[in-house]
Amino acid sequence: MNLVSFLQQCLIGLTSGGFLGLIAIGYTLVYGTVGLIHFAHGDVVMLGGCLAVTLFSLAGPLPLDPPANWLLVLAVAVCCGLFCGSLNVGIDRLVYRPLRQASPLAPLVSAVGVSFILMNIGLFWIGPTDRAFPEVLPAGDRLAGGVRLPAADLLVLAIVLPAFGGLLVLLRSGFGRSLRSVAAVARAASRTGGPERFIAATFFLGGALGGVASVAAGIHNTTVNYQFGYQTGLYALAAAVLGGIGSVPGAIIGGLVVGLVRAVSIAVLGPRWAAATVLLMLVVVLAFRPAGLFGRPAAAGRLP
Amino acid sequence: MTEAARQPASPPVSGERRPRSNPAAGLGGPSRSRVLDGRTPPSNQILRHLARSPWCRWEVPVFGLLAAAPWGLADAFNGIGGPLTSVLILCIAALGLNVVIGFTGLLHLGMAAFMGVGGLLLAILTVPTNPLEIGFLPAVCVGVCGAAAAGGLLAAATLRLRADSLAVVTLGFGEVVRVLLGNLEQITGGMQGLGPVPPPGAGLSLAGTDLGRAFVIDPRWFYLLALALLIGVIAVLRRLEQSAVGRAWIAFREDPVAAATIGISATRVRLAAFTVAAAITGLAGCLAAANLGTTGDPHSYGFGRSVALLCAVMLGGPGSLPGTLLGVAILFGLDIVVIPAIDAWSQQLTAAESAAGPLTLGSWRLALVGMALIVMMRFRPQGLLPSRRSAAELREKHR
Amino acid sequence: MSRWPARRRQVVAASPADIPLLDVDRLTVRVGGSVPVRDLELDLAEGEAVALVGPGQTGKTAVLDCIGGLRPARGGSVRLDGHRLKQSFTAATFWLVLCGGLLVGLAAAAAAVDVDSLWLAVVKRGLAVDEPFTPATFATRLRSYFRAELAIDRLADHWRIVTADGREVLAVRRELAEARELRHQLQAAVTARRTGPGTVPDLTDLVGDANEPRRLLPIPAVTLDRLAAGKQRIRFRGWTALAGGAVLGIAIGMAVWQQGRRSAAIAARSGVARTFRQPRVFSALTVAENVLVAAERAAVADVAWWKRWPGVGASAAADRAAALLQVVGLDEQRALLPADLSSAGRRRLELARALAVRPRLLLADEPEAGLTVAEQQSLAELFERVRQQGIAILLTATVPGPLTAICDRTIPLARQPESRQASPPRMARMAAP
Repeated sequence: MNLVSFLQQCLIGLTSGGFLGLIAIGYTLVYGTVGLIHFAHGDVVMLGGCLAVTLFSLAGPLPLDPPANWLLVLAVAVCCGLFCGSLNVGIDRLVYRPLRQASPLAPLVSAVGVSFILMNIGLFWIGPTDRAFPEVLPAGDRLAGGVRLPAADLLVLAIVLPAFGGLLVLLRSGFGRSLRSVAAVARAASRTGGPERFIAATFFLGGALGGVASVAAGIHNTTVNYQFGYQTGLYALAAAVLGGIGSVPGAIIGGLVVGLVRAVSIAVLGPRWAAATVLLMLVVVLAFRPAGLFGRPAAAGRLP
Repeated sequence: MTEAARQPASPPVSGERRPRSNPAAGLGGPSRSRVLDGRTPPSNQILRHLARSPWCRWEVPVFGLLAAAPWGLADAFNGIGGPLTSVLILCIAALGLNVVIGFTGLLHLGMAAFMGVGGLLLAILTVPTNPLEIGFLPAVCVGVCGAAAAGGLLAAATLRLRADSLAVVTLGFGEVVRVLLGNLEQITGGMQGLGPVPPPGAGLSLAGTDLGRAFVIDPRWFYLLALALLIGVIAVLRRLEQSAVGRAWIAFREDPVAAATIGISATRVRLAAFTVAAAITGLAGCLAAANLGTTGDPHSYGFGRSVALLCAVMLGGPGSLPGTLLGVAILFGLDIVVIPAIDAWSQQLTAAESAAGPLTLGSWRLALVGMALIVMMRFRPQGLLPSRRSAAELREKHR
Repeated sequence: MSRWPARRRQVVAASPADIPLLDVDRLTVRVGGSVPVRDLELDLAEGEAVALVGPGQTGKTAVLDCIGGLRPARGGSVRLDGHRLKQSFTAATFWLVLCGGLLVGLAAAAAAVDVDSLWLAVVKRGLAVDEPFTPATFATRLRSYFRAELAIDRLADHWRIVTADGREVLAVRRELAEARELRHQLQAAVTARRTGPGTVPDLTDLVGDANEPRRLLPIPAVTLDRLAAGKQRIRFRGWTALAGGAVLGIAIGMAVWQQGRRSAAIAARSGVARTFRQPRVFSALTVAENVLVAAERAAVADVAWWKRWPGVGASAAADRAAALLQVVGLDEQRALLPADLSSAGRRRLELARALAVRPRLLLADEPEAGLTVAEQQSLAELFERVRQQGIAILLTATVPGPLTAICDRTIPLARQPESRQASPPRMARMAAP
């Protein structure tokens, strides 16, 4: 494996890490606000991908000419984002809100239940096998210094990087500050039914980013599958935990790291050891920092 | 399951209080002689009110019925004997998961992987295409020990993790095992599984009959073997619950901080609970492989199976032995018996040639299970048959 | 092996007079965003009772948490009998971490040398050529795999000469004897390549009539080179993965162990007991079981780990639990659940449970909170009896009362006047659980 192909693998890994990070942000935001792992988030993203497939198929013959296809992708990404965000808010309102005071196992199991329902819907929407994602860009690779980068991945980067940038700007602004402090108080005050609006906003934001990520993932993987939430969603969840669940920069970095490690291990060791490598890396990091890379350690006086 | 709460409190034995000035009044002094004034000393009072009859109320009728089923049902048994054996094996696996959830209060989302480990070890050691063919019993022992070792190793690596991170790591572990089972084809047989696994008594003969052939010809024997092992596991878990170790685990589950201040270390509880749970689930995996004759599709040891076990335990009530059995019965009974029956019946009603797609109930199976889980967690999170202890805990929490 | 049984025996022998039982040295405690306790110094001898008195938010509970191992201290040290309450690195820990590391290393090495093909080469291929499976043949095949030697495989009714990892087929023959002969020749060629430049024997094809001229076997040189380098590759990968995996496993084991070195359970085994401001009793266990679980734990702690069969120490533990229940006056309620006790009853239950671990130091956090004056009096009498047993007591209180009256000394804690102005998000974090 020479340097150029290694770099290429790294680039592919970073691209996939990009949308993994976007999905991981959804997990992280929800955990940071209400303290539960929203297992169904991956399946919400999967449904976003289904919607993207449907919308693209409605748009007529593809690929379109240069300005139009970028606008189309943007429009579809926004639609999917809105859809996934609303779906997330709905799930919270229906399923998680009555369980705010319950023991932590109850919302987890309910999340698994929601995940099942969404998977079943996805099963009927796009069928049991892989469904090809429409080709949005004309085929062709871009070359930069000998490293080939598929045009699709450029598109993914074009979606993912602005999303990250926008998110960081948002979080540093006033909205982000009040979100963080109110989130902490919300967690403490959750027994008295804290600020529900902010919780809903968090769910919406996480879902919206996931919807955008679903378009990027569809373009990168060229297929959508009803088990996407369980396959890629698990990697995104691992990325969120790796970066420190509850920390947004951690989710982004975690996503990039997981994507990179996965791509490199597929290239070097073969596809069968990719999952094991990612898991081993996660275990190693968690052994040294049980709360993740950027996570806050468990509050004093509380045992793990 | 304590009887103590229902017994009337008995008066103290040694009459009036001991005088306050006596310095050796049991605080730090050595233990006193056992007999005071010819009456039973208080320690035996404590031990007596703790000991309870191991087989009460529900076990005898239920297992008696189950044991009599092969002969009671006669021909009907041929149809349901196979699924019933599978349900019994899944009960054993769910009891393993119950040890983790019920005793430590932690979530383990990769339990089915230990079934895979146990089944794989059994298959490797008994399949005729491998040179090592040892008997069924030694292979089961190796399978159980191997699964226990894997469980212990996983617990050791995750000792300091919070419940959420632990859930994700165990989920990842289940995935890794499933992927490896599918990919290491020479060892595991790949997607078809490793087979043919010989039946339990192969090569042995008892009273003139070849046991292996007996197991193959008559499915009742395997059913009875599975039932016997289930009864054994329940007996062991019941004994564990009433023992000192079980009490320490229950204390740890309820309040790990307070348990730590009396010396119950999270390390030992987690290691021990995970190892025992993995061993029990590994046993179930060995049985499943022997029942099927092959280790089967690796997907049957993946997330779907782990979550099904989790649902069964949560449905019945975490920490409750009869609850787990009921949960498995409901979940898999629904899946294997009721839904196909409803589909067949509705097919008859509508006289459709073949119902397919969104019209059949079977294709909505996932959504139905999900809905059942959500409803259950919303309205009865302690499960259908909560154990007495968790009911007490829940009452206390809502004071 | 561990020093805990030894320490327990020290209770009977008098500890040296100049080492205090509890020695708190410049303890600094951080709570949330502020540092309420700075450089606290405290000495306790056996049977001495000391009270920390101060209003709320002065860090009293945090001090007890630090001493008891529930919270890490920001600075300073806590010593019990001159030893810090940290788990020592025993031989058991060493062997466990080493074994764990070796297991991880072996797994990594198996993955690196392609365990799939290893299994095929060692276990299955031998069966194909009807070799018996004995330890000798097992070792031979293992060695030949790691030397990346060629092997003979079977497919249907043909015999193939394959590379060690089964990936490449070099030739196919119909008869086993021919295949063996050809393999021998090919292996000689590969070994010659591997050992360096020199004469390479001719690779002649065995198939063919006696009349036809024997032709050279078309094995390209690059293949021979690759096969010759195979041994280095497998060995390099195997050893690297073994070493790397072992190091990783040992690192993980040490990290996990390191984080658990200082915990409340270890403090409890060294003789530190704790009661909380809100009594934390186990509501799932009965009153008797609450005390019994602590007594059993203490009874088992004295026994070496290989002698801990089920039931050891059970009667001694039950004796102790019964005696303690009598002392605190909960004997009649022993079969009830804690939910049925009054608040004072639960406090006494928690005290009985704390005493069941045979402590030498009792940390009591505001024990009189929520009790009437009469209940406080009787609790004070209980504490006095505890003190007479030689158990040191460190308790906290907001205002002086009957309990502080039995203490030898009182240490007042005041709010830090110049506490840092906490910014709003940090204050919110303090409020979070």
